[in-house]
Amino acid sequence: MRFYTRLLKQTIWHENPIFHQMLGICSALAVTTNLKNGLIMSLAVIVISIATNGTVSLLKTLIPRNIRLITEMIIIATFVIIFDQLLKAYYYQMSKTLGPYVGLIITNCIILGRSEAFALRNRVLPSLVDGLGNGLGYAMLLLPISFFRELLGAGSIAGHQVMPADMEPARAVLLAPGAFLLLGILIWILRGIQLHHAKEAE
Amino acid sequence: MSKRKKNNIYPFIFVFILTFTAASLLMGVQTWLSPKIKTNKKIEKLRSLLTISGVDTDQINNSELESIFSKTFSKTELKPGFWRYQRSRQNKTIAYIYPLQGKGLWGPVKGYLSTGPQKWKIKDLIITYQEETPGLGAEIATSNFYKRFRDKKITSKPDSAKIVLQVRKNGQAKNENEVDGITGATQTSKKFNQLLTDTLKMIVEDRKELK
Repeated sequence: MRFYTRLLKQTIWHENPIFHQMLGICSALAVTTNLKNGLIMSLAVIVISIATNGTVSLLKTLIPRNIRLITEMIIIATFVIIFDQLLKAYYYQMSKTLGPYVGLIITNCIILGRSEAFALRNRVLPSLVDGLGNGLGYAMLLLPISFFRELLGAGSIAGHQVMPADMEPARAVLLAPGAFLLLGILIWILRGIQLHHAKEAE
Repeated sequence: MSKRKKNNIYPFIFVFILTFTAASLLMGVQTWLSPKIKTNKKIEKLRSLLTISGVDTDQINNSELESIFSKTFSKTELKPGFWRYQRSRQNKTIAYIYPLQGKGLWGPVKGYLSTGPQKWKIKDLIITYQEETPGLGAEIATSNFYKRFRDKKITSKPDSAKIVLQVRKNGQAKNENEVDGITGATQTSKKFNQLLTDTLKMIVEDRKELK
């Protein structure tokens, strides 16, 4: 059990996919204009990365080495399409707002990267935990970014107006440059904390 | 590495089985969910049409929606891709609904627009499809934006043919024929003004024929 909690902490904090490995940044910026989008996108990545890691790990002895990337892509694409269809059937409004971005999870480097670097070499259970950890690590950055972008850019939280109506919202945070800026600040803070911890440990 | 994986034919067989499994899985999911997705699309359309004809659809469930629609709505094809729905109550038409579509800044914009019985004022509008910048131009698909169009004058007089309705820069709309655009989305507001004017022209033409 301790092995798994360590692994989880490792993937979420010490090797966080976004602020450590710098993976999946494009989608982190594209879908974070409001909290709800960020939440559904995080959920999608968590589910798909667990499913992909599990499947790749199950098949690892069967997958021929020279075509392993194609194999991983097929597996990821299958799960993404299923998730997209489920969203369209049971949460139609959300699938409309997320539009093409759910489909673009197929190209999300986190999922491909983890199945290549971890699931191909490890047993099923650790692979599932690794998928969960990376999904959570992605959510950990996505949620604060979408929270602040919605709050500053539209003056609301999850669609509810919280800022006074006569306050002019900073629309710039809703555009890509604003998102980069916020992400940069967030990475700076998180890495600062990490560095601080590392120094204390010494 | 085992002998099996060195065999040249093995990758082919593996990919074949994998794609076959993936394809059958997706086909299964598709067959299972596609009726539901189709219903969602249809319900969304009915809900939009009813909403802009003045019905509060929040309290109405989906089966009631269909029965209200088939009882009170009638459709007339005007020309290819352009039609009119009339919603009547006690033999009186209380709303005319037209499709609203054209080019936005990044892609097509689609929706519906309704006028009251007089047809020279907008009753309501709704955007059901757009690809504008999230958080900026995409705000055209919010009730906050639709609200601005209610009771706005399309033409200056009931029988005039000149379209006077205009989307202005946010904060500049003062008169009954002016609507505030979206802050930070000047291009989308401009494009929206254009597609609105184009649609309104066809509506005004239809109004002449209705008389």
